Amino acid sequence: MPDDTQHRPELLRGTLDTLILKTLAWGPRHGYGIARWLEDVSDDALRIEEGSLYPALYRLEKRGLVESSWGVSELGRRAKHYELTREGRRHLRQETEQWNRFASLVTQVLATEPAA
Amino acid sequence: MKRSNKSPLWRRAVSSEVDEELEMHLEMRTREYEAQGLSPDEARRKARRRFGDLDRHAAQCRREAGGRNRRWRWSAWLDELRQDLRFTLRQLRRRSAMAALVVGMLALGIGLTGTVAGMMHQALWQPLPYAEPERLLTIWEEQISRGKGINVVGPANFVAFRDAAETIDSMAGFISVSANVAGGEGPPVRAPFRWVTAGYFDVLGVPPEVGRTFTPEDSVREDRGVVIISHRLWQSRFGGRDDIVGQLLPVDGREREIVGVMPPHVALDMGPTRAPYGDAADLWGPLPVSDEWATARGRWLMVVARLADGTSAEDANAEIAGIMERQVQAMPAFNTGWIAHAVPLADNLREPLRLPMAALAGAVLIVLLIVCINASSLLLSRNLGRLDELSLRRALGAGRSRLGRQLLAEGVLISALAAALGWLLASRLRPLAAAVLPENLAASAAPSPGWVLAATLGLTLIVVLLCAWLPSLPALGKVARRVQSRSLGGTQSQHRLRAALVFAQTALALVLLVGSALMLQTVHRLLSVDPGFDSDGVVSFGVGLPRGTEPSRMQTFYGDLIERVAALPGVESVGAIDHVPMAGAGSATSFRALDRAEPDEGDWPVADIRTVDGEAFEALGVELKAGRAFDSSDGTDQAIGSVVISRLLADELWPDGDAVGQTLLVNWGDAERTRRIVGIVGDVYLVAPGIQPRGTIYYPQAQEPRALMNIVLETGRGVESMAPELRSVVADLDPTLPIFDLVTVRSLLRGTLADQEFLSRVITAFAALAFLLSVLGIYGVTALSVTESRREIGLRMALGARPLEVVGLFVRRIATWTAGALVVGLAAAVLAARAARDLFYEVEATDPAVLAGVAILVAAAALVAAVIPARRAARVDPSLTLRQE
Repeated sequence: MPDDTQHRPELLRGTLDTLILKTLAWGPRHGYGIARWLEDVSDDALRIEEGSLYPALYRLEKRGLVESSWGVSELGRRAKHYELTREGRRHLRQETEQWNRFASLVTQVLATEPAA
Repeated sequence: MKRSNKSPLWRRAVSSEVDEELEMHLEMRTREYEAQGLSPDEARRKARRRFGDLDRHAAQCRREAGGRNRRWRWSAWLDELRQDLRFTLRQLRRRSAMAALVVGMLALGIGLTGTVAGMMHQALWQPLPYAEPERLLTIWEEQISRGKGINVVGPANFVAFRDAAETIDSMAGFISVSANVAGGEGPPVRAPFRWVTAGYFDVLGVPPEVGRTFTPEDSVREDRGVVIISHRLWQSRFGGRDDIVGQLLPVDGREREIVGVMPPHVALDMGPTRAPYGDAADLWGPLPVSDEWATARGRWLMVVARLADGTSAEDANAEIAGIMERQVQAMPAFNTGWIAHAVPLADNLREPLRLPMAALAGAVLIVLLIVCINASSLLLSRNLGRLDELSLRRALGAGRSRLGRQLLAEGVLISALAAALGWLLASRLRPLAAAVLPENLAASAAPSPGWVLAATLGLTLIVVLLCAWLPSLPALGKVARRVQSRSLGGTQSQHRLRAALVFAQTALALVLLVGSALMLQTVHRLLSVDPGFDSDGVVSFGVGLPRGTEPSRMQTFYGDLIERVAALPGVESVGAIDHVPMAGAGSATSFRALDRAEPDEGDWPVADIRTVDGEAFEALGVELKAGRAFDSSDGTDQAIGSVVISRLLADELWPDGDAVGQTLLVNWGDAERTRRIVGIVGDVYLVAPGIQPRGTIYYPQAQEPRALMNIVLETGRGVESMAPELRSVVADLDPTLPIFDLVTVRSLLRGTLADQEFLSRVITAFAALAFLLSVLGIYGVTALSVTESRREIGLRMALGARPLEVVGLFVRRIATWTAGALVVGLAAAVLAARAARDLFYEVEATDPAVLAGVAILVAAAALVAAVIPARRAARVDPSLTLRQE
């Protein structure tokens, strides 16, 4: 299998947290579910190192943005599920707004052609 | 990844949740790949690759989760510690030579210090084996004119103290002698025997192991005497039989009834005035205090007392001194010029041990300190050598405390290893110490195992502080600065620190070297003292007739014995003396010369008294200076007795050299009998080569017979070969008499030097170690600075500096440090030596030869240690080093 990670965009620092929060906006998931969802919606283009999801989840939990509980997975195994807290939802909204503003600014700047 | 179920318990709490979660992720991903058609192995590998570093992510999770609950945090911490230790082990394995060096050095330091601490506990701190030992006192008299020195107590004064002192709860007196013991198993032996007054065991507060102690009736019984025996005698002669009470024991030929057995270790060792036949008593007999004691003269009683409740040793001392003043009024002829003291029993025993123990402790602490400095500076330069790695890890997010812990982990691991090894070493040294210690130190200072362990653990803490925590600080500080300034820091301050450590080491080593030189000088001077007798080829042994033997029998017995020993092959001359020189103290008394006015009470001169028989002077090689030795004309029947005096006494009293023929009155034996001086002999050191002899008066055995004499014979044959013949000669005369203390006089002489020789050997060994380590330190620091200054050297050489100048550069630096260390070290050494001056004989703390010799030795060694690596600097190729930068 050819190593194609070089052609994939790198995640900006801090964006992983926001993406995870977004993933959970549709309801509780376990870690693998989050990885799969990110893979699906980004067409596998945003391939993150999957292991790094977990420290991020623990970090979010510590900040009170997500909550975890042990439940049963679709295969009947014990699995740890995460869901957004109220605080997490608010945070996601803020981050999304901020991102959109930032992205449009960058787009605007990049779109400006030099006056020849 | 399969985690073992056998993982230690403390890890489970954290790991189980995190691991379970991550494991599930990997499993699901693997299954997915398998579904795509990959083999299970390949699927698993690919899932792992996609996941990234499992251990790192898991560890991060645990850290993030930390603080959620206490147990979690604690095990996360332990988990990290485990990682740190594993990391450290890997690092150490990579640098095993250095690690082994540091561990070995520290183990040596810890082991030695632990052993000495164990000895100190045994010698100085362990409570004595009596009830409330801190309340026990001893009472001594002292003759002011004789200056220092304590004296046994007169019986009249004892009675006065006992009856009048209110600060004293109870008091007993005793006399230490020895007696021939037969009965039970084995041949007759000479055993230490103690006559004790009523209540002696109650004063000590020791109940008997079997039977009873003495009752007042025991001392007035007329049918037969009673005796209490030691645990040791009970075991050795009676096999520990149950019906020991009531058995009859022949003591000095008379049967005594055994009424009790004392447990081990109750023999009361009084310290300075030891019984001459070993300190532990094997027999105790009742000593009645008769009415005559109140008026008796002479001083021959050792006194032990128990403080009354609520009084202190100072109170008792003041009261005893006061009672003694009244005794001077009551018996002026006997007591004028005398005072009395009460001294805590423990002080009595421990005072003589304090200085040697302090010297030993000081020496071993210096060694430990040097070892720690060495280890610390090795670890320090190692930590600083890891700066790049540490800065990287800090930049990658490792917290300062985590980095600190990693640095600490190495030191702690090394210290722990060293402590374990050190303890092992100490437990090996313990029996060894007991074996190499001189006899009297071994009895009182064989290290106690519990204390060795406790001290080792305590030392480990200190070592961790010095060798783990301290060297981690500069590296952490540098990392912090470097991360802030993003620059590669210089090495200047690191140099300074290392150089300062080497400097401290050298100064400390100097103290030990000076101490060792002074001790070696002391032993050398003591060995070169002419003791006034010939110790080579002289054998001595003791024979004691029973107490109460007729004087005429004493005379004929020793006369016959000397005659028979003289007839043995290889014996050149034979005599007898009551106390062999160097075998402990003997008797002394006051006297006056009859050709001058009677001195005031208490101003009578004092002389040592010895009784001799046969050719004692000739056998011992004591020189006859004037007149004659004793001969058959000095018999019992003479109205005027004969004495031989030592030259010191003769010169003092009759400086014109006309001592022979003069007459004396001596407070000894028949005090009314006039004694004429028939000869003068050379001065003999009686106690030890370090103790100046005083005037000595010799009596002939014929006129003042003694029951116990030591036969001295000059022979080319050794002790071993003489022993059977000597035994059979004595047995032929009287089969009930054991012979004892069969030794060469040479070994007695060496025995008196044993403490000093032991100390000088130990301190010299310590000093050699310290010296070696500090020379290595100087070498190391020079070598390091040469390596680090290559660029500077290259530059200088490119600018025209000659190789010699470059070498000089480094040597000058070391020379400055060494000169400083010499000044500080020598000053400290002189101070330490002053404090310990009582250990030295005829050598001053400021002995110029010693100080200069040590200074030259250290300076020369430092120079060599600096020149060798500095010469490498001169070989630096300037073009090469400059281009490298």
